[in-house]
Amino acid sequence: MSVASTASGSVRLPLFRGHGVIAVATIYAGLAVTVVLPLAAVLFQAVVADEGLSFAKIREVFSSPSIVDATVNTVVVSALAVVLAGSVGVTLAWLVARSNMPLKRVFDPLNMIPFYLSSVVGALSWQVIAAPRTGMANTWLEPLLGYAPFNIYSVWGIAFVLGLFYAPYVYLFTLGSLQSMDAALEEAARMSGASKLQTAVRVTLPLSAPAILSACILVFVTSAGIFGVPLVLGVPGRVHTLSTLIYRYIAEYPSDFAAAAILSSALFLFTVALTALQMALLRGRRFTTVTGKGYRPRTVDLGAWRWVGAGINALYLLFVIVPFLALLLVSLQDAWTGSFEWARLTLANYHQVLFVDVTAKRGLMNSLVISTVGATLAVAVSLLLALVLQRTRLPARQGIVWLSMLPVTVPGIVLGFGFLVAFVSTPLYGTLWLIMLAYIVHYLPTGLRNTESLVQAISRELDESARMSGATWWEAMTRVVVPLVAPGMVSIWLLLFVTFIREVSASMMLFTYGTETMSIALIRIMEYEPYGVSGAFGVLQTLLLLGCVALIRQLSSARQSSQAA
Amino acid sequence: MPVHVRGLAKTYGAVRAVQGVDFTVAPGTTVTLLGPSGCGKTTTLRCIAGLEVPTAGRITVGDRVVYDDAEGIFVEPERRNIGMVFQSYAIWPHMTVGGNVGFPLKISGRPKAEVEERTRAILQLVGLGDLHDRPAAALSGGQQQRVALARALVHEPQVVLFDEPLSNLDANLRERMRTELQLLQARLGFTAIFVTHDQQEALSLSDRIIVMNRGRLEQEGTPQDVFQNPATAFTARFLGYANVFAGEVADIADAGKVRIDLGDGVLLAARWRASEPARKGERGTIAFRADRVAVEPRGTVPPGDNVIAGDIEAAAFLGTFIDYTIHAGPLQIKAEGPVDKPFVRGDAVQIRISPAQCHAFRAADAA
Repeated sequence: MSVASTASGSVRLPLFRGHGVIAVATIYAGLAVTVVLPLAAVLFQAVVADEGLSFAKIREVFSSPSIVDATVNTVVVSALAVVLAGSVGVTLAWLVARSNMPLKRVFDPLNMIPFYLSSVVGALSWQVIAAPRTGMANTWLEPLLGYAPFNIYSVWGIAFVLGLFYAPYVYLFTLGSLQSMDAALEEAARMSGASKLQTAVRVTLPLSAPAILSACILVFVTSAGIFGVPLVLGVPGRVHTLSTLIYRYIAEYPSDFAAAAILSSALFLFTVALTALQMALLRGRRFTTVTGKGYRPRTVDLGAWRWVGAGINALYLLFVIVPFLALLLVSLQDAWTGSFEWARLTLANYHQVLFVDVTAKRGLMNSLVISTVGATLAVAVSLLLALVLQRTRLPARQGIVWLSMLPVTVPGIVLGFGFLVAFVSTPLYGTLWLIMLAYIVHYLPTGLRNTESLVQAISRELDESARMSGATWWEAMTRVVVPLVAPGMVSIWLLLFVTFIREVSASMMLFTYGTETMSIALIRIMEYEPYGVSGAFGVLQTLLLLGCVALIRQLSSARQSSQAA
Repeated sequence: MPVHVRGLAKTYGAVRAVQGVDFTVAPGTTVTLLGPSGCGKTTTLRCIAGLEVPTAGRITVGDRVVYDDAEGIFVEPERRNIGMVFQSYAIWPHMTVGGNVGFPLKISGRPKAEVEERTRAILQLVGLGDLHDRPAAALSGGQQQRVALARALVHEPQVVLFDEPLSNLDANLRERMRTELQLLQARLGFTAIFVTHDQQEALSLSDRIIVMNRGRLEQEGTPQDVFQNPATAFTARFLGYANVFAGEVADIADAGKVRIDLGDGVLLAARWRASEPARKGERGTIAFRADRVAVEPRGTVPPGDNVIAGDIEAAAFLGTFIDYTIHAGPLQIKAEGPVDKPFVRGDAVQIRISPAQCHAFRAADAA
């Protein structure tokens, strides 16, 4: 490439383009190794057996009855989770956004809390309530009914816990759509002679439908790929889903990588298809109701029913909070007898996980290291990519978007398996670094999308004026754009930290002796320690996550008030 | 320092935002790119700034080539030494006023003392001497404008670009800034290129005006020339010519004088403004200003050239004049009349327009 400066100091175009080509090539190379390679490895493993290309194994795998069962279970669990999360999420969102339900301001932030918590701990705590014989609800109701009514170790149990934990997704999407909807659209319906109910059914809901549907697909995809909850609640009752089956193929001796790869590919293609459907839905029906202005739509007067609304919302929160309180009680007892006894009150379980149990201590330390370093690296990578995507005119940027967003469609267990296949014979395998890398890649879409919207909110003229003041592109970014997005980046860092602390699926595929993460340690402890000990560990993780939630809220409200000033 | 733009073109995919624009800005003068939104004026300005990479053409600032597609030259914006005031002012909210204004000096590695001294001096000059340490986020619109101006001028660029700098100010403030800008330019001697869609702003600020339309240069000249002698129907309409009518060339007199047949026997004499001579029977467009139309009671002057009978259809009192809509044969003519002799709706009038005030264009020009 010719580098020539004219007498007047002009730089020829090739050099200008040259920098960009190197940057783009580096990004593509990085994404190829971290995103494409693991997924390609899974697909490759699925169709290539020892003797070459073969579909015989695929046929064999899919004719196994256990896989048919697991597929049915996966679809049923996901569908039930969507029904529960969808009805709860839409109802609560409508109550908060459009009704005069009392205590809305209190309910709104609380409704989002399950979003940040670990569903594995949720599953653990629901065991305390609804395990077949020992669950509190069963021990109370059995004398009355003559039988134990609840069995959390079932398709219903798994779907129930997932539905509770994914209701905030639907809630968030629907709330956003309802709050950004121009009130005039509904008022126009009323002025055209429609009743309140007709307005809700004919105008409000259709306008929110893309958001609700899209959230439901997201819940379906996530439920289909989820690993931790089916592992905790399904395995004891011999209820397998595709994800737990994939894990079994690898964890049980002799491991069958080919079968795991075939199932992973099937699961991956399924989630890709659904995600594509979700994107098509959002693209096809982008109504111009979202203006970014904070409309205050008029609320519907529910009369006395507003207390029913508050009751519904409180009930949802109880379903989330009560099991955790039960878990807290369990963790404070030296042995769990099915009910709380003051005589058995102890902190020994906390002492055990914090100071004695090697796996627990290591899990906590490992997760803190991975999450702190990983979130920092993820934020840095997201910021760099966002700046390249939003603030340069480099060629082939759309490809970067697609590749970076691809992991959003990949269930953690599949991504973890891909990393296992791709990196098992490298020195990275068996280190915290590989687990961290898998986390970063899996949540790159989250980091990038959030960072991009922060960067988009900064007017281009702000960095263009820096360029006109003599700053290079890099100087304009570091001295103008980065300082302006920094406060928002802290929130993204915390969100990723929370996500990494509770991660289960990829860790399960990649951990080795010594690199257990917090969630892995929790699952291990559940196998060999009494209930109280795993309860204590679960409570500790929940407190850590709640602390982060409080910080996130604190930061975002501080940012909003400083913007208002 | 002069600025030369030759054959400038910029396309975005299939959209041709600028297609072959040529102009020269003489040192120390002010040129305004005027046109409606989407005419390519801002793209042209941003190409000069280096914020857009043109598709073709050549741009020189002084004797330095900053862009040339044939030679493969593109100078990054930070190396062009051009100042720019943005439409949104683009004040960095995380810095103080001094931090904003001193940034160009700091980034070029000037010693701290010099940065401080020159920053304070330029702030004094734009009338913000006491705001040096104020956080920039706490400024009013007018103050932000001055900070943006100070920042664009502090490193003493020979060329300063202004992207609709006055459009976000209220009317009074705009008036004052306009004057101050002219005083500053006289004092510092920079070459200024403005972009605006506001004809008043263009007329009052500029030494020369360049009217742009659909990515092309429509007309270039002094404000008086462009205003009084629009070269195309587009320019006429854009500069507020309220009466623009389509017709046919009826006959051609000498020295570029024509008569345009507007239908129903209404003929208006006008000056032929197209470069090629008119042909009898071809389609043409005629334009004249509302304030050049004399409105009189019917019968006061004998019918003759450019006198048309009509009826007052609407009259609106606008303070210094009355705005009339007059129904005259096939035409609906806008006119302005004095407030002391008002007509009312339904009055029979006749209107008179001097042929020198009527501009006729080839119909293909009527964009």
